[in-house]
Amino acid sequence: MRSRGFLLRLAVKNLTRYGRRTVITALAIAAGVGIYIAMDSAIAGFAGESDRLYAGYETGDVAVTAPGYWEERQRFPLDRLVADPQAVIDTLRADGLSATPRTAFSGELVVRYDPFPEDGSLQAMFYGIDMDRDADVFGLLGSIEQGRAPDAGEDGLLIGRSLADRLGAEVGFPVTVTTRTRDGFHQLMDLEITGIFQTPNPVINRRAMYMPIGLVDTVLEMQGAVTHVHTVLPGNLPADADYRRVERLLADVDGVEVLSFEVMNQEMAEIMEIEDNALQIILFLLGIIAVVGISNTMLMAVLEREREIGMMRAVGVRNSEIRRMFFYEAGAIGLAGSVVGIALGSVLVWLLVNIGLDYGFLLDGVDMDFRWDGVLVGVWNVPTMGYAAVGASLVAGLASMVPVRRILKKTVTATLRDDH
Amino acid sequence: MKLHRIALRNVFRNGRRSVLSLTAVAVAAMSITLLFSVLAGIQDDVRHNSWNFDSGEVRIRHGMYDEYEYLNPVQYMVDDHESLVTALLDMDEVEAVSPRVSIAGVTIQNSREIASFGMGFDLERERDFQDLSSLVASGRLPEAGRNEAIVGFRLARELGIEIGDSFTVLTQTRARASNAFTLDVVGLADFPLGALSSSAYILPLDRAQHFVRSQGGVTELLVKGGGRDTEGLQAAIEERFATLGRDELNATPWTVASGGYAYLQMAGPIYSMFALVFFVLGSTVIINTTMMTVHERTREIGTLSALGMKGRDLVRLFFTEGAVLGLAGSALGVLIGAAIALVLGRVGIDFGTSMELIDMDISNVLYPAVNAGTLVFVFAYSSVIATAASFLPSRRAAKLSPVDALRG
Amino acid sequence: MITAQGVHKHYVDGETEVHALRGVDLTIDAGEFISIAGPSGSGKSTLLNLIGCLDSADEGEISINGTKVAGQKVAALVELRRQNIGFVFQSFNLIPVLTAYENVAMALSLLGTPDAEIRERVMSLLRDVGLEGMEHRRPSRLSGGQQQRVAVARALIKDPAIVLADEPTANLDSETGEQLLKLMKDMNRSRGTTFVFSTHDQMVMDYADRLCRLHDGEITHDERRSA
Repeated sequence: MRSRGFLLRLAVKNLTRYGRRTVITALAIAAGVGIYIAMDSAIAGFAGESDRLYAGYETGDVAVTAPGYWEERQRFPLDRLVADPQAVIDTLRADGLSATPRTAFSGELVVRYDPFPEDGSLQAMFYGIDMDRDADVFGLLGSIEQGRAPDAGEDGLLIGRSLADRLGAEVGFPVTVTTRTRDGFHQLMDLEITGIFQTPNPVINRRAMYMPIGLVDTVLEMQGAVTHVHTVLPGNLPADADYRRVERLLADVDGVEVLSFEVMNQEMAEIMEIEDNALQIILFLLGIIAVVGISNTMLMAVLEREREIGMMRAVGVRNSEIRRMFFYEAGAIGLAGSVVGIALGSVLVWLLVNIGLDYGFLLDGVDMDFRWDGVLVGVWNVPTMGYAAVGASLVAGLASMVPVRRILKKTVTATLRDDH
Repeated sequence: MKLHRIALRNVFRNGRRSVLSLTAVAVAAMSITLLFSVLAGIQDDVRHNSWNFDSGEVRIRHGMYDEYEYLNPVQYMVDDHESLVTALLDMDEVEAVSPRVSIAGVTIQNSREIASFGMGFDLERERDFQDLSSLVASGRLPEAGRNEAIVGFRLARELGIEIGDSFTVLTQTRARASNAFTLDVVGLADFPLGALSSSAYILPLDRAQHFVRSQGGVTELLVKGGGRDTEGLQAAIEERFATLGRDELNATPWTVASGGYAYLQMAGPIYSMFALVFFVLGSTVIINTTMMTVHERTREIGTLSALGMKGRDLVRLFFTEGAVLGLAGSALGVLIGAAIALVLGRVGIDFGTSMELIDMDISNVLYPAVNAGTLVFVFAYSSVIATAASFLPSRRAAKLSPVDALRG
Repeated sequence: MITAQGVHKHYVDGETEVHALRGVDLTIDAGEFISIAGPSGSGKSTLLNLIGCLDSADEGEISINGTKVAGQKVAALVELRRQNIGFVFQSFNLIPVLTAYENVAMALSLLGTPDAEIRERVMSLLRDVGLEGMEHRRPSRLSGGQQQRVAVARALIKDPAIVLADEPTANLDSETGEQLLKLMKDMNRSRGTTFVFSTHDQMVMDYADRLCRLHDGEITHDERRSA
């Protein structure tokens, strides 16, 4: 409709009448929008990083285990196994997907005085990995900082930098791992630390150790079985369709369960939901204040222009057109605020993305199960910026409806009267 | 008529607008009150949990134990703790001392290893340190001298045991040899920390000492003072160690020892930033409202100044009006915020089990805490901001010339 | 053609009820140039508001070009005003953020008239009312007389059947007022637009082709003069 253009122009012109007020209101909106964008960026950055590190170093995009293994995974059961991992791997390979087996088990790492600074032991998680294929799926073997990965047949161990520092371990130090075989008998491995890795995933840097899967198979009497087969999917994070593809491929393999990343990442997802809810509450409170601010500003504008509105109505401007005019006016304040808010938010996000907020110094002694190294790095989330801007403008526009309704309820003659 | 009477009447003249600006201030004040209450709740909670289950206000360990903490260095114990406890309790700064033996062990069940964490408590002495009875979900606390334990309810579920059953734990002795011991379950515990409920049990100190062959030693002593001067407490304890010739011991304040304290450090600035944002937004609304008031009553200002009211008085008139709204809004907001916080403080905010992922001493159920100091602070702060915000536009009233104002 | 029959109107001002019109009968033919005169409080503004469909009568009937006002929906009245009636106000009531040109063009813009046509019509009308060269001034840069000419142009731009002017010269000095009246009369002659204005200004009454006097809500005098 052509009249829209006219109403828009009029609305914008009217805004210039109350410079200071418009600026103050817009700035309030800008502050809200900017901070929302920054918070969203930080939370998304945190979640994205966590997902990336979890998939890239621990779960892969899809994991194949024995049915029921996942529920019990924290106890490292050795009676729920993928009996024929090669069949799974071959099937996935045939379809062009990389796959690698891993066997996870718990045990105690025992170290002794000389060369270690002190006698000691600790409960830890160990993984037998395929030295040739693991790098197809995981970033671990590419993160060795010192020393080297053990050869497939070697009695060698890879440990994380954080753990090594805590233990005072160096490459070449001998350690003992005590654990139990598949059938529950005690077993003991004398290993040499061949390499120390430093991944961006603090959880495995602190707690996980890796050795050749052949050694694990022999010592734990696994008879070729493994606990997991991991695979990566094309694309960044696994979409549902890709996961279904793996599930279809393995439909004929008995005794396996296909775990999507969503399933494996559920705990984290729940935490993010709490974060999200907190953000929503804050957003809601910010919204209320902004709405009060906008409707106040618009109420003021409406009251000041009462006669003018009366005149417009007298000459036949429809109520809907007057409502639209004020909607545009308030919406424009919202939009202006959003634009400044996006600029402000972008500066904050830029800082978050390029510099980050380093909480590492506070987290030094804290063991978190978060895959997060203490540096909060934001992400650019352009859709969020768009939604924030559209949302703020719409809310602003709608907030104008209350004061306008108030004046439209009056008769034209009452608004035209000279006594105000 | 006195100026403030006029101002007060004006507040009620335009009810809706006054309500709007009152609401804005109130929402801002309410949000900040809530925010601070939650923060205070977290603070109290983290402190409570750290002090009782993690670090005390000051934690005393063998220096070598601290150094090789991650190696489970059970050989380094605090010896002759009885005389130490007596000496510590003798100090003015010390209110309570709890000697403890920690047992990192595993229970083996159907070829699975279930890790657990035993806490040997001197149950007599612990009464002065904390009220353990609040942990008891069912059954009772263990008694000294008996092979009994109260088990975290989720650990019990995982072990498949109930009151009346027993469980066996394999651990290391002080000489780093293996030892297994069996405990009868006499109670189930619901620890404030979910992580403890799923991994910990409490047993009598004397039995714990026996199981790890501690030769009279304990793993650590947790000390509580008044909480006002943790560093002073630490210094006093170290001084006492020096006079006792116990240089092998290390006293660590909870600000260093506890992971929860680090979390508080992290959360504090973030919360303050939120508070600031709410106030900036709230203030803009007040500024706008007062500007509106001035504008709307331009003609009245003209009349008043034509009648001889001075610019300063006009400023005061509108300023008083803004201040009344600011004060009332702040008071209302603080009251509502405090009321919500009080209700939440009773009911608690349940975070479910997600907090277990963080070793930060935060309980699963958080109880916001309302303290008078915070309320007064938020009220004062929001009143000042709100009042100051009404000053700017009030000045405009004084600048209007009577002629312009009358033409309005 | 406008007819009013037995029109009564009450309104409440504060706490007092005012019986503004007490049975007014009036017929105005197309093309008339009529002045409704009376002291303030006589009900002339009220009568104009009723004729302009801004308000509705409590009793009696008003019809514009055969359309009865009573019983119409609000939206229909707005359309009636939009199509048939132009207003000129005592205090000009121009929109301060719009230029003279834009103030006049507003009504057409809202009707969705093509820009080229708007331009042509507005420019020619502004020329007719003697505002050539001042199209792009905002009201604050126009004199009172010029502002009221803009208002007249605004009222005329849609070629309404009727223009209602409520004390159009009250805020103008007598010379400017006379020029404005002359302008309106010219428009009345050249376009055939009906002009109805209220006034208590003798000069305005002298200009009118027909003079109705209103006193306490009743017509006490109705006199036609030859042009």
